[in-house]
Amino acid sequence: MSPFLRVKQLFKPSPGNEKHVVRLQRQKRIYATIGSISPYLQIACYVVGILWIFAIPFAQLGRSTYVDENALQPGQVSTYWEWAEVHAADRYLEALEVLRDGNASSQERAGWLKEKFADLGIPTDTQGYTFKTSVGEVHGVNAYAFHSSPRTSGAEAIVIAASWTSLTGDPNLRGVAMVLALAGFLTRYTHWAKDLVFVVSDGYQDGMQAFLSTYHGFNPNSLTADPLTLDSGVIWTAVSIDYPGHSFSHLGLFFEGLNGRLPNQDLLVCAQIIGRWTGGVPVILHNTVDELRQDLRIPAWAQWTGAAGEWVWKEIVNRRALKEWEYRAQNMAEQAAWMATGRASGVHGVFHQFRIDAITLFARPALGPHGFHSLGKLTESLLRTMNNLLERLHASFFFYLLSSPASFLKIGSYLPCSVLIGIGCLIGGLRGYVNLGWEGWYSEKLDDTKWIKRPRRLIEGVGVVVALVSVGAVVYAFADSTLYAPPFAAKSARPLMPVILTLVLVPPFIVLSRPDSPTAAPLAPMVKTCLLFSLALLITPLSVLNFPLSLVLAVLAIPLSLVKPSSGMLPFMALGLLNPALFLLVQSGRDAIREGVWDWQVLGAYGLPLACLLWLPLIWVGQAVCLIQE
Amino acid sequence: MPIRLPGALKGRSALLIPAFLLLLRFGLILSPLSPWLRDDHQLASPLTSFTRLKEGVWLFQNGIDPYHGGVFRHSPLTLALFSTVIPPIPLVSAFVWTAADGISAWSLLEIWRARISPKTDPAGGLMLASLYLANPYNFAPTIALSTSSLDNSLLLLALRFTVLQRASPAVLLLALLSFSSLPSVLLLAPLVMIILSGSRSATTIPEIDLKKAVRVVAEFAVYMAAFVGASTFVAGSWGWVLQTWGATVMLPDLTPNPGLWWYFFTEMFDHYRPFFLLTFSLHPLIYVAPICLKFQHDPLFAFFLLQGIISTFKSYPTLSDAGLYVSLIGLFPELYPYFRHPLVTGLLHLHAAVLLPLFHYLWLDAGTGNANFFYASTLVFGLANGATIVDSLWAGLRSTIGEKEGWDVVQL
Repeated sequence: MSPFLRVKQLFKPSPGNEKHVVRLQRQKRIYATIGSISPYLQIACYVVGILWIFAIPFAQLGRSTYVDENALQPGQVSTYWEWAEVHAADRYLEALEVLRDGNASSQERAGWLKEKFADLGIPTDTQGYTFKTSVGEVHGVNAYAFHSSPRTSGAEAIVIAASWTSLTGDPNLRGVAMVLALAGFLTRYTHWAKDLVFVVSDGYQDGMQAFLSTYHGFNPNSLTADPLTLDSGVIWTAVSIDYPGHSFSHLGLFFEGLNGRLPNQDLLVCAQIIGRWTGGVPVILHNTVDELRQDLRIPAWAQWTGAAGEWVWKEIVNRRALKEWEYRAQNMAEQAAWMATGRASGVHGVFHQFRIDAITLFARPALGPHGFHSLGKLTESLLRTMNNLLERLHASFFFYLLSSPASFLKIGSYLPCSVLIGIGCLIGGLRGYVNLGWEGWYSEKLDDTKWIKRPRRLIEGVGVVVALVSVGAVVYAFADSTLYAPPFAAKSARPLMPVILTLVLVPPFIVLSRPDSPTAAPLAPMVKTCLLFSLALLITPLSVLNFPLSLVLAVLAIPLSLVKPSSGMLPFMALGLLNPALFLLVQSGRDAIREGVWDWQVLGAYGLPLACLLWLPLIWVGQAVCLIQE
Repeated sequence: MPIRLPGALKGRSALLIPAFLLLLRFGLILSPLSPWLRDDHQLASPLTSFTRLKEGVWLFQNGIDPYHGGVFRHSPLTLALFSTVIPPIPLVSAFVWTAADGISAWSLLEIWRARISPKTDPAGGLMLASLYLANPYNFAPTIALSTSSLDNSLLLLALRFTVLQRASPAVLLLALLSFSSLPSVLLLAPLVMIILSGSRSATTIPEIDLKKAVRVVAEFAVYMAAFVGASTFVAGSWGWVLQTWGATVMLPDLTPNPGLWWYFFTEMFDHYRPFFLLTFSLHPLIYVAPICLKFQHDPLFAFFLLQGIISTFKSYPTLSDAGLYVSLIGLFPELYPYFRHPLVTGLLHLHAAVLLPLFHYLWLDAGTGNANFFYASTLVFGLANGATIVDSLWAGLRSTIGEKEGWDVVQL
């Protein structure tokens, strides 16, 4: 037979139906296998996802940081910052201390700053602003100065900022003195290709939010601010200086912005390299010192194990690898916590929403050895590095988890853990949906189960989810209004008990008011299927937008997806324990909610709407699944 | 005293849903949401953007040829309409776009009635019309005042006249449509078939009245010629041909859209461009003959499939193209039991609907992603549309065989 005929034979149906029957049987077998292993597949997705979370801090998953943009060339310049500039900063500091001790008002402080900027010959002005929120009002006055670049037309700008209040809550006197000294020093040089904008913002993050909103022409409803009298181009980079102590031992990098936004990693890496090699300062993430924990002694309750216990403590508990794991986990957990809650870790956080790469250089308070000299040197070098930029930093460098100042995880190494859990939810949802479409009729005569199709109650299932989200929307509208402000101020939880109990227990009962349905198909599994689909649709796309948030949802999804339909009051109450309304029980929780309302209305941080429109409804839908009796 | 039937009462109150959806549109077009969405790449392409239309009208009224330069790509007929009868001001446009969507929904209802005996399911047609109006793929482009919504209503109105066997208005509208959306010309073949053999599925292949077919096609050609003449008269030169029809084929404007062309041609070396432009443009042509031949017994279904192929593969699609195709599935309820993978298709569409705006935001607003992100989501969208076409094709072929206890269809 010729090869051509042989190939033709392959595509020809065989004379009998054997081949088709075999194919059909194989197909059915595959479907049956998928159906039967899908619960295990779902659990496997969850288990691997959870294990992956614990694997994230391992050094093997990460890699050391590097500078992606070749134009930056960090630490390649000779700096000019010297003791004369340190002296200038000290003089400013003395005057600032007088202002602080004299309880100077915002207006007086800003006026003084304006005077100093004017003395340096930089165009300057002040900006008063007021934020009106349901939990109170805040007024403040910012001082700013714009230095035009001597080399270019001022199409781009760099911001050097300090807020009056440090992220520790103390006055940021040395940070402000540093900005003034830098203004006097940097404007003497001609190598700037970007305009330099010096901002001393009032308050903590609110002053900078007011300044940037006005600068970019955004007018949030809660803000009334004076217009800016000076102007520059697009701001590319911002460095905020936070120096609350007397001296500092480490330079802490704070970088998490509002709503989980991050600056480009190159800015962080440059700050780390320059801090280390130009400034000679050890660089850390946040306020976590880069030391491994001390060896743990074997505790009294484990003494009886003798040699075995000692071996465990020596080889496992005090193993260097475990200590390193803990150190990395701590760094990442802090980053994840800022990102998931949507709060900014410093003044830099309000910049990111305007596509500005910004970080805070935090001088960790200590008795020594560093001061204005090293901080000025490294700031100068960092600004000159960012001045080299000819185009924006590359887009792929916004997705990272930093495990230490010099090592990080790429998106591909951490993303799978939440995506896997999302896929697990999807598998569960698909299985539920398919199963709901069939009903088994067991016939004793034939000793066989016959499967017949039945209509699903999809509309009703979606209806339950929509109804509970609407209840969440009502709660949100209430929490966002002035009505809800007084209860937060309550000193004890007792007057709030009715609110808490209503929020935790009542809304799921909405499903009992549903109209009677003519179909006999069960509703509870349908609601659960809808819940699983919505979880899958939330977790997977969110993982690229804000990975820690999607991880939190993924962890929340596991108990929700293991709830059995119509399982009664016990799981109902257990799920109630996951309700965010329980924060109202304790003072710190009430403060956190108050802060959340403030952050939402002033800064636009999503904590409040997220809790009301996502977290509450998800728990309620889970509770409704327990509640519905067929 | 006339007795009101319970069914009639139910029907009347069911009219409230489309009425509410239309009112909602009207309100939202006048709200600040509309200007905010107007230049969104997923809702308005360079060929359908309202901003560009306004620009063109302004240039035209100030005596500057709008087709000179690369901004204005609407057809001269649209230009004539919006520079004379309908000024592009908010209140008037809100009214026009709402009315257009109303016409679309009403046409869809009429088509449904012609296709399916309304006695069996009196509320079904209204449900379909409401779903059309509620579908975010149709809803959002209307809010953004994208002229793709007007194209959709032209197409549905043309189809309505077709299924009612009124050939002249049908081909007139199709000719009009092909001025704003060139690929729709391909729909002429199934349209003529519907005129010849009706909108319902037949059990035998109907006899074709060739003379009538030629007459209808000739009528179409006459309308086309007349419109070309009118366009040239309006535009004052032949410049419009390259700027409107030419743009569809040669893709001069690489503004992102949810379609499959823009990224491919962004990455293309210039010397390969003509070849691939030719391939991409001619590619939809190859479907016309096989689909029309295979579905001779059901030309409306052939129309539906071709519309899906056009909306997936056209050079400047918006979400409303996919929205129209998805809504048309409602005309064929007999296919529902025969879909092979409806769940997968549905999930693909759902994920595309989430990923498209998300990655668009990451690329162009947050600046943390790049073009590849959005491109990936348009691929998911393309996959979803492709899966819809393949699945409907299978179901269309499969439904002709029917069900028999204990038997399975292995091959079509």
